Amino acid sequence: MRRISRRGFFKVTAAGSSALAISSTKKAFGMKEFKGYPDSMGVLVDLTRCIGCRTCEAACNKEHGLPEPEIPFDDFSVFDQVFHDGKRKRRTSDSAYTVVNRYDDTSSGAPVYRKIQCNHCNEPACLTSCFVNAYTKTKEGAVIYNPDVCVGCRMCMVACPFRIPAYSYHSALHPQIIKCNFCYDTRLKKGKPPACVEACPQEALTFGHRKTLIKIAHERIRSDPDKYVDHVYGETEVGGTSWMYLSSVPFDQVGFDTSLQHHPILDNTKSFLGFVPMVLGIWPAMFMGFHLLSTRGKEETEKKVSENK
Amino acid sequence: MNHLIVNKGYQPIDSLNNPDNGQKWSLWRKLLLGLSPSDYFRQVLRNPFNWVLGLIFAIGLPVIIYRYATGLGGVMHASYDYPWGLFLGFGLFCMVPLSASGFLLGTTVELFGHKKFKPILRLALLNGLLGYFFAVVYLLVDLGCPWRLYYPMFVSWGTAAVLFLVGWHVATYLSVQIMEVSEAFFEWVNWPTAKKFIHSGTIGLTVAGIILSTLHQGALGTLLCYAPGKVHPLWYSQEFLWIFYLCSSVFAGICMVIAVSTVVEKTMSWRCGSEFLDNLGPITIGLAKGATMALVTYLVIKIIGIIHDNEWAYLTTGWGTWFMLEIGLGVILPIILFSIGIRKNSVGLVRFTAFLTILGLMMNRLNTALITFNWDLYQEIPHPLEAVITVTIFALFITVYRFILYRLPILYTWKTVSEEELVSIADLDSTQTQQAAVLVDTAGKESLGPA
Amino acid sequence: MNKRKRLVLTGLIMASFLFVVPVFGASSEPPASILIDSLSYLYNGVNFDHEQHLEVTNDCSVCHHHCFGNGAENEQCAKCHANSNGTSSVACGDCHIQKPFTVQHIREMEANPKRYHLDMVGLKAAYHLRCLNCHVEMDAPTGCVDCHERTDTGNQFYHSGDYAPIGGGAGKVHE
Repeated sequence: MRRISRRGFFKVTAAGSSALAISSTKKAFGMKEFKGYPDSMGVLVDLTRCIGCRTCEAACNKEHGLPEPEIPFDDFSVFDQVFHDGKRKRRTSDSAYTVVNRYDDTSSGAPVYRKIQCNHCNEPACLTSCFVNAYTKTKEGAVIYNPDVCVGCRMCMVACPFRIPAYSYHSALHPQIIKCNFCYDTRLKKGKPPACVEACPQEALTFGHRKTLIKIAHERIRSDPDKYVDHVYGETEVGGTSWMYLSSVPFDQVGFDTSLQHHPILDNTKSFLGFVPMVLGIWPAMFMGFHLLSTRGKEETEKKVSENK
Repeated sequence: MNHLIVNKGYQPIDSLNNPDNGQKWSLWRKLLLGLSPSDYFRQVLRNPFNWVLGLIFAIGLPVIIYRYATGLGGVMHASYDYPWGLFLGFGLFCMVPLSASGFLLGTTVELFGHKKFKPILRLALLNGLLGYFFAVVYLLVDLGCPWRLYYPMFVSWGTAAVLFLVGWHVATYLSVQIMEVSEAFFEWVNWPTAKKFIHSGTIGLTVAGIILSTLHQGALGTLLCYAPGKVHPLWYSQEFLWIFYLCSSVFAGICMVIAVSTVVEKTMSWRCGSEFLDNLGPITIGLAKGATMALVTYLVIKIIGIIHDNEWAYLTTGWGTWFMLEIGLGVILPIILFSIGIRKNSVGLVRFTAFLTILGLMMNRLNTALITFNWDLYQEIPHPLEAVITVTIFALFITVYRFILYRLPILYTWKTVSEEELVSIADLDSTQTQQAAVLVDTAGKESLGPA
Repeated sequence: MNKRKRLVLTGLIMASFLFVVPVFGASSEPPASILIDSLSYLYNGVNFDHEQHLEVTNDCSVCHHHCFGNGAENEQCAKCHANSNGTSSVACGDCHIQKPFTVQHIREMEANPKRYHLDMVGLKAAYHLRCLNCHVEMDAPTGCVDCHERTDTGNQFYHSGDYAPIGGGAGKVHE
């Protein structure tokens, strides 16, 4: 079966900007809250299990034939790397779909490792902000990208609340967005777990149906409340993500943005998009009315003036 | 040009027929402003501003070629945290509001019938057209695959995206503006049928202009609603960002017309018709009134925005100081200065304030799109080559702007008379020439100083 | 009716299992050492000194949960398994499967909505979680190659050893 873009339901048939503008709002509004595909897969990342071995990074590199790393994957000095005056740790790039960073648990002093990659949102901001529909949320849960239609505006990078997409800026002819695709083509659609999950020695990454993972996550918290922070990061953040996290230290101490909204980013544009049909419907009549009112009176007075002369 | 006018009694072409012999001007002569090729190029070389432009192009054009040869990474920091730089921050976010002039003056003159502003209408329309056109040029530099610029129109539709709306609206509005300005072009190339055709659709084009402008000016602000948390809360507002952008584009467009008309009057008065020059003072004051109203409205909704999102605490931070500086210099001070200028009927003060307001607006747009972006992460200063390209394209904008103003009947009225009439009004023509010569003489002396 | 019959039948079958003496019950002798190599790919197998570990823990249930029928060390497990009988097999790989994320296994796990052990780790994780957590606690070695040697494939995989990036390596960024 072909991948379904959920927005594909609303096929726009009329050309012309006004028709398009109306349809775009219809899409934003006609949609009831989207809870994600029922059989969406996901990954639960348990930070308490991650030992920072970077095997997932190596597996990802191999799976996707990414460029040779500058530093071997078994070299842990990368955890000491900081950028921009220490304000930024390593992040995903045009040669890495995923990276693991080390944080220090301020209370216990023990290191905490956190893997980052695309979280595969239920209602992704990259997808909804893309004006050429280069992104697709597959029914399996992956958010995949089609470089063949991408114009390179990088709106998705601006929109991504997790700052995941990277761009191959140094390519003159084929620049494109580079990000984790949940191993969609090579594994996920064949029913296999992503390479990183399979490689993880600790099963810090648990692969399964998103709804089952939510159950598992809450069960882990319930059965060991002293160990875990009582929150499943990604269950509701920005409308829910396919990749979710459990942690033993407060999420904001290990690089998570805990200020994110709990509804899709797309919702933020609705107050404006609601205004679009009003403008299209009301403006022409209103301004033509203004025009008639303001010019008819004037023409008459102008005539009178000229007559008087 | 002033040199030629003063020393050689040169008269710029402003009519269909050569007043000396009654012959129609050839296109070539029109392009050369009625000068011989050698005179024209001497004139070009004499102007020091051309040397400045030449220097900018000498540096900038190779950099632009370098950008296409090596990819964006060659001229940008290639930052994943700051995907957008000056090309969009300045080229799109600043150029578009500053080009709102077209629809504003179109509405005022054509729709509301305020004929008082008619002499500046074409300048406002041209300013709008070129602003949008060069916003697209900036886009062509910034896009990773500029050769796919038409994709959102014809290849793949991301209809739910705000950027889709912006793209379509800028494209259609650009066509509308080309049609609006083409009236002047058809006069110049002497194609009255086409002019008449376009003219008959003026009201339709104007209304289309209002609709498209209201929507995409606002949409530009809504683009940043995709990045809540990345844009500083003082500049971000989910409910109001589009109203901020729409409202500020009103005074931005007006102030840009005041600014451009000022530059035009100071540097190319020889090209301005008497209708334009005589009415510019009252028009400027009239425009200032409109701008002040928009500024006051903007200030009020900005304050409502802060109250609505309860952002008072942010005002005491460093970002808050920066925010208040932007509002103080770019909104409150202009309101005060405009009010004084209008009351005292001081065109000079109004013009100064217009420039100030433009700076304030640019500060606002750069703040939302660039400076306060990633406010809690780290700040990034754009790559020097990015600035070089931005300046180069702006210089190109000025060059094209000037090229068109020199030729098309934007600032002056195109005179068309039948050949029979030409003979009969020969006397009148000579008196007009004398008048114009006097006018040009004074203006020429004024502006010879800096040249 | 049918449903009840099936329940009774299942109950009977399950009850009959309880009487079967486990193959590796507490009665049979524990192995002195075990070669753990069923997963060796990036790393060679581990020759696990079972005897030594038994001496250290002195309690089978530390690693083998409730499988010997002598209670469970973990409180959480003990809630149900404090008095449960031993199982027919105690080898890790008999419960913790090698490929826990196959479609088939995920379906199997989800087929019974009442299933408690939804969250059972695979064999590789079972080894590592058990071994490493304890090694950390006991201050025993925790490096990957402390327990098992890296294979050539492994070096290739990690871009390490003979396959280290030219000009790369620890020193470059570390200092």
